[in-house]
Amino acid sequence: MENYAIEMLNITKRFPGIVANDDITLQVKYGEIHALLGENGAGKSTLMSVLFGLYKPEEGRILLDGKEVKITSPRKANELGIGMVHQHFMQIKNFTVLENIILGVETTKNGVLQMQEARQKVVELSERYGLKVDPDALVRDITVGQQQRVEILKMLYRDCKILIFDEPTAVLTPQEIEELMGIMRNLKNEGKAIIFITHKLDEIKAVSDKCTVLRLGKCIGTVNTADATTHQMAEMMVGREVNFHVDKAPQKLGEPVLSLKNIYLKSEVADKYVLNNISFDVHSGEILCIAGVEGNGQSEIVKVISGLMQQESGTIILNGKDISNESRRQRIIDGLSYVPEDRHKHGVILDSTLEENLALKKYFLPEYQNKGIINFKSRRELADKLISEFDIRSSEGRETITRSMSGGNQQKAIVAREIDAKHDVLVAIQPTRGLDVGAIEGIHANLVAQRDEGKAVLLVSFDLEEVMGVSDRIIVFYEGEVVANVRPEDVTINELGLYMSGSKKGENLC
Amino acid sequence: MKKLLSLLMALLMVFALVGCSGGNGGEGEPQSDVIQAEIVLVTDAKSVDDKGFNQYSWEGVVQYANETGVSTNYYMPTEQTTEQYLAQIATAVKGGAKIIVCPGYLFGDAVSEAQFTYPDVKFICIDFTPNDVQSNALGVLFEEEESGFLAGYAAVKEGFRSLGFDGALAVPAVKNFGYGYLAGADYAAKELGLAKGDVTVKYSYTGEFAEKPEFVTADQAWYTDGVEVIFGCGSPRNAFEAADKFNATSDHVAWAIGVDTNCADQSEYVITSAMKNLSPVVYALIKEVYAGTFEGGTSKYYNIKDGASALPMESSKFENFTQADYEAIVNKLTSDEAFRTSLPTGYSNGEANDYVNCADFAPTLEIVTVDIVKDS
Amino acid sequence: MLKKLLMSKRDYSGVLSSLIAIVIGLLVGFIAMIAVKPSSALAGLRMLVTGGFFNGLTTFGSVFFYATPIILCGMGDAFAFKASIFNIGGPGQMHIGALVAVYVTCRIGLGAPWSTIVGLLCGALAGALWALIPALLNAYKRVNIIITTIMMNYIGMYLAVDLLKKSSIFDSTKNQSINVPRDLRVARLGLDKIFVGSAIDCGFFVALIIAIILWFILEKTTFGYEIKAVGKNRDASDYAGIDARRTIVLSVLISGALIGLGGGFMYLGWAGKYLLGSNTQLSEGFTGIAVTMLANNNPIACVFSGFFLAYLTQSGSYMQAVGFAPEIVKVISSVVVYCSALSRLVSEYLRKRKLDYIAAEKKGDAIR
Repeated sequence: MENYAIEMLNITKRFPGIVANDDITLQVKYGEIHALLGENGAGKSTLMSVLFGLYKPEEGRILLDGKEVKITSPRKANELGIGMVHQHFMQIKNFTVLENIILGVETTKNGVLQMQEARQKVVELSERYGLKVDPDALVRDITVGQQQRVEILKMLYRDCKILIFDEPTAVLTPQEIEELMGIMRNLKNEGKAIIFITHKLDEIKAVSDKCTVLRLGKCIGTVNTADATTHQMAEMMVGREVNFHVDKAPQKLGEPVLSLKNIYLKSEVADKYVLNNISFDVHSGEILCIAGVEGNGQSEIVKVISGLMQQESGTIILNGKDISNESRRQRIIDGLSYVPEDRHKHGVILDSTLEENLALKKYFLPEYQNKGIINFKSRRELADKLISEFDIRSSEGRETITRSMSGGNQQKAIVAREIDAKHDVLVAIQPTRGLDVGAIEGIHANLVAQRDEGKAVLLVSFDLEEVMGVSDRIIVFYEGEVVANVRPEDVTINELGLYMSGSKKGENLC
Repeated sequence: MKKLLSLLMALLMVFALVGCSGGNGGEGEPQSDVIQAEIVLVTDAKSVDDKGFNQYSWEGVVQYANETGVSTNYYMPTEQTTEQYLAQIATAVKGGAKIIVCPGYLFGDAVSEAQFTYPDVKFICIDFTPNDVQSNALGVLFEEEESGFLAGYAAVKEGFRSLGFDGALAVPAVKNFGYGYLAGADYAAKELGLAKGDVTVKYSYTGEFAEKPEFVTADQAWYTDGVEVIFGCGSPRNAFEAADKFNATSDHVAWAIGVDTNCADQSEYVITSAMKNLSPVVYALIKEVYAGTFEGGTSKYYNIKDGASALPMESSKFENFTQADYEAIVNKLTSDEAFRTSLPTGYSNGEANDYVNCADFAPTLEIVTVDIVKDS
Repeated sequence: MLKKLLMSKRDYSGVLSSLIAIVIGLLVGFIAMIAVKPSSALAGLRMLVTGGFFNGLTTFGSVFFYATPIILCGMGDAFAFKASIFNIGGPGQMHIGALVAVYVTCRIGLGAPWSTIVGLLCGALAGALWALIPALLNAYKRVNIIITTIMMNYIGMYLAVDLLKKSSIFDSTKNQSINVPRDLRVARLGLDKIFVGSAIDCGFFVALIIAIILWFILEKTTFGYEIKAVGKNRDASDYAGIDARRTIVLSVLISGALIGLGGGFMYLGWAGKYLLGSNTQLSEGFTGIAVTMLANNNPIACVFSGFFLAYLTQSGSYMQAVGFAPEIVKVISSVVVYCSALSRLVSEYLRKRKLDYIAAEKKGDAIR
């Protein structure tokens, strides 16, 4: 009998229409980093929500230090020493780091805050685990990586012994990821039990001791990370062999299709430019990648191109036509397709049917309406065509309410709609965010096919693997400026990291 | 789930049953459920405790019922529409009503029709007369200018020189009160031998029968400007509240005059009330119906000689205006018919002493100057 | 049976949830009656259910009259709500619409029926214009439309009362608008021969036709598609090239027009209802919100729910006849209305049941 810190035994959790966790067992020891691997919808989040007291499982037991516990709420989980670093930080931006850390567990004496004591403890913890962060800085002023450390400190401050990291590397630069790995190792050496949720196989390989793989709500198995190759783990996750390499035919570079010239955009909140004299061209038959850490002007440039934001100055030329001041609808008609960053906010209308969503870019064309009255027949045909062409899976076909579909299939629907619309330029921002390996493969193949058909593709990605694998050319954004213009074969990931963090500036910046 | 469903089904069946049994009564048969009442008051959509004519009419009904044990009831229409008034009158008739009291001019169209529909029912119409009035209906009108006159007269005799009139809405009854008030003040000023301009009256209408903070504030502003007494006519509680608030911080006492009934219990600063004795009139008319002496088919004016206009001297807080003074002026009004009928009115019927706007009437005053803040 | 209804091909959950909500409302009302006056509770409940026929077809006919404005107002609210706009400005838009409708009808002098038709259309236009200001503020500046429409209610009321008093259609001795000449009132098309003595006119049927038109717009046209898209996700619609601002402004304009039209029908009818010279908000404008809530924002269902609420108000008023004090009657009928308007909660519940049934059927195999 081994001494496990936490054991989740034979957990089964059903939701209407789906068994999210089917007889799953997860056992983690102190001083161990245990990776939880699985595609989206495999049941990782559900399992962790059960552990964190958000869901009550129908079957199964949870043992803490060998004793059965009932976790009924996140508060209870915290009391038991279970803490979670969420993907989206739960912090108050206008509070200091220290204030955020002690929020909810303030030490008081006669109703007066005892900040000094708290500060001491925080400083002590951050030194012990190498979590460098200024306790008096306002959270809004520190970097994303530092905010993540604040989250970790929050858990340590609450004396958590079991730490859950929910896809912690998604928002970090390569250098920051390195640092995080170091911190995780420190935590492990101090005897904490760590559950590490991620998609990224190399990270698992680098830092974890064991890896439990989930697929379709079922537990596929637990392996010692040292004994398994990334390929093996990927296969366990997807259920078939995976092709990491993006197959690309030689490039047939054409004329510039989309040209941006001297784009400036002022920030809405601060007195600075979020887009500072941006110029670049996207050619037909090319995938141009914009790399960079999130929040350096990538979203804004895409919004300016699509017309959701109006630039202060500068021109946008599409197919030789100046579209700088055109309406969004006109830009779409002129040949711009756009896979937005936030799927749920901009991509789909969650409470509409799949059919209605697939028609969003075409419903006004004469084929789909007559004097304002919808032609339901051709709309249905369009939906069925896209569903079968792009293999969009759902429970009720075109009549499925989009909200009930998995993220990957929602994204497939968006990509299908955008590729189907008549276009010359396809702009995609973070099209594979949060998707599983299988879906990512599919989307990459779509992008490459577009390029091969002679379309111009502009891809914004924060995932350097993707940037390196898919692109024909890379430009790097830093603080609203283009700081590098390189070809993937001429650059290493580390070099890109330096560009992204602003510590290096390239030449030949279009 | 099944339980919930069967519960729902059971309920539906109960409703269905209830509905059917209601229909079994059939047409013509009296509906047993309906409360039987011989005397019914249908309100003008306000309640019977509105401190207005609904309440005072109701008090008359209740007084008679208490004495004789006759059954009574009241109905409150959901809306101020002729349709609703007729509907509630119909309900009353279903309950066996013999007398229906309808307070307020809003009933005009409804009673004009109902008097034909229900010829056996007597309609007592307060403050209005139906069109083509039939023998089973009586328009009960009051000469409010008389009690207004008494109030204005008493105020100036008491020694007040700066007066106020806060009328709610410029309907004939309120105008009658207001013009009478001005005329009374003028008459007293003449008796006292005051010079032109010695007495001033601020005169205004708020525009609705309602108690609202802004109306209270307006009255308070008058007190601050030096107005010594305000006649709150229509919605007097605005003036009462203003007086309470003003006097809480003031070095001199400001007064208010109530209306319709004795308002002495509503504020300690009510110096007197210009009473329009509705309840006794309603009571008397009901009595007439039962005695068989009811004479409808006309309008009847109730005045000081019927005891309809008065000041409640026993509860008034005058220091200088005595009971003897009061009796003298009442005597003047009851004995000098020409004088009494010459008092100004606001019916808009074009008679010589009838004025549409206060601005038409004010210049006829000899001593009092009127500061018209808002006219009808 | 519930399962059968929920799992059938056509979706009955909307109708079902409204019906269940109504039954719950009546049940709660019944409990209230038992609490107040146990001896008359059954009679009270009977009156609440059958009171709409208390004076036979006279009462029933008048229900049509009282239903018309709240149906139109409910449909107006529902239409705006499809674009995710909560138009609470019913009272103000109705007041302005009613004033303009009555004034134009009485003064334009085209004779019957054109004066009335033009008057009603002008009332609708006025209601739309009154809704335009909050609509523009919301669409272009994202100002919270709940707040602006509530403010516009007050402004509308004061303005309408003030204009009424200055206009030639004001009867100062009665402090209300003049009698609309009989030939200029809304046509009754012989309905008064069936519903003798009631206030019925053709307004209800106009509302019914409008409901069908609205349903057609929402379900069958690209404009309706745009409205629903903007309502469900303004950002995604914007990105897809739909002019969300224009869509929002148009939907609110239509909403205001319907509400203004409702005001016109209310004061150009035969019930002897007058625009008052006192500052009172038109409560029908708020009742419209209850109508649309009970109808789950479906314009056709608004006709039924509006009729139901009008019926309830009428039958409720006759509960006085069985011995409930009118104040208590108001409490009880409000309780019924509020419970009924909670059909959203019921539909939430039904949706969950439905998912459970689906889950039970597909036991074990997950949907991906």
